[in-house]
Amino acid sequence: MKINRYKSRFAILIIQVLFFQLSVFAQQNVSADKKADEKKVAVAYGELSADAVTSSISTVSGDNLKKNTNYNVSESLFGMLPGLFVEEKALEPGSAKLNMFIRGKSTFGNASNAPLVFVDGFERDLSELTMEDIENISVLKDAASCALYGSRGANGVILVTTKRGAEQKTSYTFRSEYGFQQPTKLPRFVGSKDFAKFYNEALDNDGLSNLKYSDEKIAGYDNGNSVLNPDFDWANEMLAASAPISNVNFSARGGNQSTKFYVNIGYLNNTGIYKGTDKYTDYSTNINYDRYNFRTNLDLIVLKGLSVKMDVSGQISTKNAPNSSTSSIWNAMYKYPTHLFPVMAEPGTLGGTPVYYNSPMGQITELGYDRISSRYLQSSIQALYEFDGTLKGLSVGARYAYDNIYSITENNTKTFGVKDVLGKTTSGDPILSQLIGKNSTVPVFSISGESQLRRNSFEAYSQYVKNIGQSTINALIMYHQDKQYVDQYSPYAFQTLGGKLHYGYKNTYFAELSGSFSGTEVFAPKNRQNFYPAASAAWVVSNEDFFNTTKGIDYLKFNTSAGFVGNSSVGERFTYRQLYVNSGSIIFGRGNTAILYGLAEGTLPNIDLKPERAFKFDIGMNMKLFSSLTLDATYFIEERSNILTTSSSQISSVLGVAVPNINKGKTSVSGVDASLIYNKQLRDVGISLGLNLSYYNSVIKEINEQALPDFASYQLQKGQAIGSSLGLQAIGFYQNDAEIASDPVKPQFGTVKPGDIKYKDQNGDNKIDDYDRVYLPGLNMANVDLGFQIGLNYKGFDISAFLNAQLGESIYLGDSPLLFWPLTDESARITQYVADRKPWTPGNATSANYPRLTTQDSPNNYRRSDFWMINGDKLLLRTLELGYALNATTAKKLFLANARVYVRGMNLFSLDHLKAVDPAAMSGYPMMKSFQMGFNLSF
Amino acid sequence: MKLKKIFFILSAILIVTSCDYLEPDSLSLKYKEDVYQNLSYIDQVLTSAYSNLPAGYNDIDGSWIASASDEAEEVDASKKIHHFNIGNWNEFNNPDDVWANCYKGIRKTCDFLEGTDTISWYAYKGNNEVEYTRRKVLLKRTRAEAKFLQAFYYFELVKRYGGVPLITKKLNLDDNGAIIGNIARESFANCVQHIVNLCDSVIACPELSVAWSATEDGYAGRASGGAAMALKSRTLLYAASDLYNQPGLSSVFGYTDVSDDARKLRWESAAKAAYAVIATGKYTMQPYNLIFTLGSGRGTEVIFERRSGSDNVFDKANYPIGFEKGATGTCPSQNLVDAYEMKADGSKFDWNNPIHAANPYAGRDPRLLMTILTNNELFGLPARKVEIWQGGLDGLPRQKATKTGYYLKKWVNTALDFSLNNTTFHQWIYFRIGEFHLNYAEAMNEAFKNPTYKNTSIGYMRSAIEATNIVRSRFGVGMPGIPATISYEDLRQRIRNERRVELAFEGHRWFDARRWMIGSTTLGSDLRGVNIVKTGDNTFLYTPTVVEKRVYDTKMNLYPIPQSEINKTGGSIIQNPNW
Repeated sequence: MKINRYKSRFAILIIQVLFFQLSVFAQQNVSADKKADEKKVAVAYGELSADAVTSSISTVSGDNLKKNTNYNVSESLFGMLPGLFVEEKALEPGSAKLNMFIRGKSTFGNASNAPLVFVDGFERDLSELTMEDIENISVLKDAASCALYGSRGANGVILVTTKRGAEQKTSYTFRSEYGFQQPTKLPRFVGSKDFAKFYNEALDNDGLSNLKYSDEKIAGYDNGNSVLNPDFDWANEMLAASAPISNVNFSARGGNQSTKFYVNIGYLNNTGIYKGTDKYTDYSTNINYDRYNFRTNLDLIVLKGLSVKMDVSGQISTKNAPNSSTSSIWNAMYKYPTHLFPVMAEPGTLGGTPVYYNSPMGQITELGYDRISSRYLQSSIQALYEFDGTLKGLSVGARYAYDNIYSITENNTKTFGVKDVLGKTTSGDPILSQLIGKNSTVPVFSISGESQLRRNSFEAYSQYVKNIGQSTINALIMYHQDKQYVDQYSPYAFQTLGGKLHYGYKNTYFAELSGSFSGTEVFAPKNRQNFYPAASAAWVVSNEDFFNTTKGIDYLKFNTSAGFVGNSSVGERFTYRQLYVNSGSIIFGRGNTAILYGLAEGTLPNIDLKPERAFKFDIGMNMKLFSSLTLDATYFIEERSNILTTSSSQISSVLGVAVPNINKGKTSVSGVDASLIYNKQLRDVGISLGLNLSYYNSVIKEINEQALPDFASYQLQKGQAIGSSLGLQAIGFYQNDAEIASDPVKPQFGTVKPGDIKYKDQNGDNKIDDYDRVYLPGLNMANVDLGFQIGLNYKGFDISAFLNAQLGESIYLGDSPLLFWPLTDESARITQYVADRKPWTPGNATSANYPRLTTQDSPNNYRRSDFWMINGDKLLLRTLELGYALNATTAKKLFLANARVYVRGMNLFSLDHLKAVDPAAMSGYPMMKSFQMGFNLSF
Repeated sequence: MKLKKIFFILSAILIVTSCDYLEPDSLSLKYKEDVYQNLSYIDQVLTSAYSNLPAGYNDIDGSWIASASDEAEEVDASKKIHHFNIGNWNEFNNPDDVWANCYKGIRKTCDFLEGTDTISWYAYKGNNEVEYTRRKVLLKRTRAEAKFLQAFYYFELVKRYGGVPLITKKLNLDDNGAIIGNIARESFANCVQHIVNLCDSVIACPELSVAWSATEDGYAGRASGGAAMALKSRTLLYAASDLYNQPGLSSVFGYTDVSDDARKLRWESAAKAAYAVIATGKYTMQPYNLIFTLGSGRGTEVIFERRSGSDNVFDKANYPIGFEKGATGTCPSQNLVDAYEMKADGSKFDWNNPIHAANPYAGRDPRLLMTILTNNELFGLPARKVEIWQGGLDGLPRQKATKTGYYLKKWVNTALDFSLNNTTFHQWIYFRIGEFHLNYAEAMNEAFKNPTYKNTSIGYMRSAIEATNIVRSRFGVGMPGIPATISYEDLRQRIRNERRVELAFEGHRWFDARRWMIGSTTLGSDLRGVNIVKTGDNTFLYTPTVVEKRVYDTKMNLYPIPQSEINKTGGSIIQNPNW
């Protein structure tokens, strides 16, 4: 298997060399000229000229995005599109995708905030795509642009268009990248000696001084890492300096009048950061992600007027990984002691104790490996007939897609044992315990997860476009249906009948009416189909006769829209009927083998179950100044209603059965998305600057929450932003027993001792309890997202940088107790972060910045309070790229159309308030920065 | 015109093809209408009602109630059970909050009883008489089981909270989503009466065996007539106890008539109910050490149990730390160890007696070593001596070594090798006959305040002393009998101690201390352990120590009603005193 990997790498090398040769010797004439065609904007079901767009849409080209990611499409979108928020999270190689939100979060509970993603007219996931294939990505943000998506439109829509052929001489593009990744910022831990001192401090605090580490033991750590006095760091032992990543793509694009094509084939490899994983000759336990992708997009003219598109694309990937979950490995790295036993107790045997028997090193090397194989296959056919003669302007079309996603997880499971260091012999040799656990040699094969998704989509539409005098009419009627079959579940079905009428006058005034009847299988029959109308208008002021462009304003346009859209991803299905569901089990009879499974009433029905409904209003402007500056800004309001809220907050559990969620919730969201672009060519120097801004503010208007006593009314969620959280307010530490005894305010979370966190009694009842929690500043995700792009080019050289700031989030350190709540949950490591803050001791009582250490449970300190909240604002240098392109004449001499080499760094630099660890990776696989070099050849 | 036509035709085609596209595929969904037509579904509904029975083992966040009582301490500081020990529990936070779970069980029994109420199986009558009769008998039997379960769940509530809302029918929601009907707390007396009535109707059901015979092995674990008698006995014993018979109590928290006469009657009915279990003659006492490792077998002593599959979760959790994958879990307390009497004469163990202190586990009530794993005892597979002394394999300062100097033996299968992932069957015993001798003894002693009183002509076949001595003299234990000269006050203490020892780690102590209202001096007293220092080969120095200061307040005799329940009912559910 490892051999295969090398084989495939070797194959790539051969291919790379081959194509380089080809590119040098290819006898091809290339026309580098591109038609300067009018800018078109992708809208729902078609495209419009930029002038005619009446709704809120932002677009970015695929070329622009490619710099931002290794391979994950969602990673490329940070800050790139005004209105689109991407939630940052570290991903291990082969991990699916990041959460995205258009204009923030508008709903809560189990309902989804995720936007709908359509690729070439069909619902598909971004993770099914390859960066190379993307022509452009648009986000549709307002009701007018999303109305045709009806009951799925409320969270916005992301439209992806893939590259297609063109009527041109065939051009070939070869791109190859190679690079490596390194963790951005791993948490640092104190060494064994300091740990022992801190641990003694904790024991003193707990009154367990008799269990302290002896001075002799502590002194032993001075002599460096040894079996008897271990002092090491798991990260050093387990992580390689860097992990390689490589990516190759070869595409061809061309065509004539009747046939156009775009084909691409690519390969990606990304290895994990673990080391020591090649111990066994027939397999590796490191993460290794191999992905092959392909695409063929064909455009055929079958008859005059009848065009057909046939697209086939797919991805086939295999991920090798340790047979232990990433969270288990990294939790163990942050938790397992580095002062009690060495990594290896003796050659071939890992160290451990009966408590710490699952050594993180063992987890990545000795538990065997998993292999996850997946494939995405997408195929579609579209036919469009355009009438001629008296019916010119009318077209009818239909399209059908069949997609299949399949994945299977194979486990190859092995076990290992560890040995504890019990003491030393009189001669000073370590005494090791019996083997704790069992060693096995050959991994046992099993299959743990298999899942399949099939998706059938069908669409038919008819469009009529006509110019009558100074008026233009564009009318569309469309029908869409799709079904997704996921494993054994009842299929997910959608159906929409919609239409729109677009009217333009003098290319200056535009108005559009659109609407759809749209439904899904989720809801009660009477609520399944709903009508979603929208209206929008635009005024291109600069096209008016009176407009004078000499004053510096080259272009000015205003637009506004209003309408309704729905969200049917409400987190449950079919709950409008009373179902009986599997519930519990029991064993009867001697032998204890006959397990009987129970059946019981499921959740009581919400006979009125219906989709969320959003009213959206947008007003925006677009202007160009001094032929170099473009400003786009939109203000929006959204009123979301029918959000499912629990009714259990109001219904006593003496009812004895789960109560339905009811469509009572309401939210209100408003905000701004804007972009400012500056482009200027000064002789040889080209400058491009871009600034994107996304901002939103949400308010929960109704959440059907439980009534609270008057003295705690400040805890009501109503009126708060989505994603805000309750916590206590810390006001220092208890300094001594006298203070605790004399303080009339009594904490209710167990006995407090000097050095414990003191909280503010919010309601004056002299008790600190859950009623003293108040809303803390900050949200669980950023509500301001800024993207700043800088590009410069001089002759053949270009440099670009992309900075991204995310503001408004609060980080809760309690989400990562192993790093910030020392010694909890059997943790036997202390971070430098904690040490730097000087935990409270009687000696440093006034200067301490951290509560006392304890080996015991500390329910008073370790709970959500502002002591554990950190401002999550951050600024990242996401990309820095330097490139050199051959000038056209030189390229031509080499028979090339285009040649560019580049180096790129990603996530090279960041600023945040946490500092101790990357906020995007407080647990699990680390955030990676990467360095890459590559070249791009067209011929 | 042509254009319009085309649009029209197109739309018409689309609409016609779209029929039923959104109907769910209901093959995998079960609707209410189908359930009560189908015998196996009906049985499954009852199964589900059983499934809410407490698991016993590890049933509170991986620990259990014994570690909140003066029986033991949980070694893992992160377990929720510690909230009890440090007094950090209240109406917002209760590790043993069974409220919602019990009402779920109750609703399932109501659903079963209502759903089966109208079933006649009439279609089989005349058609297939054998099947008709079988189904009729089955229906009656299973309905009796459902009633028992409802009584069981109510007792679980009443013993914790006092009187609770008495829900005897499936509640429904009105159009505004509010519960239809009154859900105030019912009086304690009525709740007890409801439990007793249910038990009586189960006992009176001829289709349900008093005890599952050897030919009915497949029913083991199901409720029986004997189980209903046992539940009735325990309920009446609790009801007669001090906690619910305090003067001036609101009727929700206990009886309002607490005159001596009224209390005497309560103790008498408790005695009668206890004797009824014994009088069935179906249950006999077994060797003490065998009862707790019955595995998948059946014990003659067992009246009602919950069976579980083969695993080692509980055993692993409680094996000493020095054994592979042992996690210590429950650390039995010195308080409990001290309660075991001396075998020779039934006298108390005394640390001040140098002979006792030097060899504290010798010459003790044999149940001590059947319940608790002590220092230097042979244990495990492969067997070795347990080294609990400081510096020993299983002792401090090893992380997670026992805090008290003891490990748990009762219920634990002592011969498992976890490196081979050995597993074992378990059963959690809710009722066994030993308890009912003690229930009888306690009720007789309290009713007649005379240790030797009996009157065979009115059904009091044994005296309190005789009943206690039956337990003490059980096979393999053979503790000397309590002399007839004892006063009834002293006998009360002896019965309480007997109950503590005999029923240790069976979920009794936590509630017994409450109903006897001795929580402050028992559950609230220092939780003690022993320090062990090795002084030579097989010689040790034992020094009792305080492991934890426990917090107990008399208001804790009753659990607080969850605050959320009070909020949701707008105050119609009132809180227990002083919470």
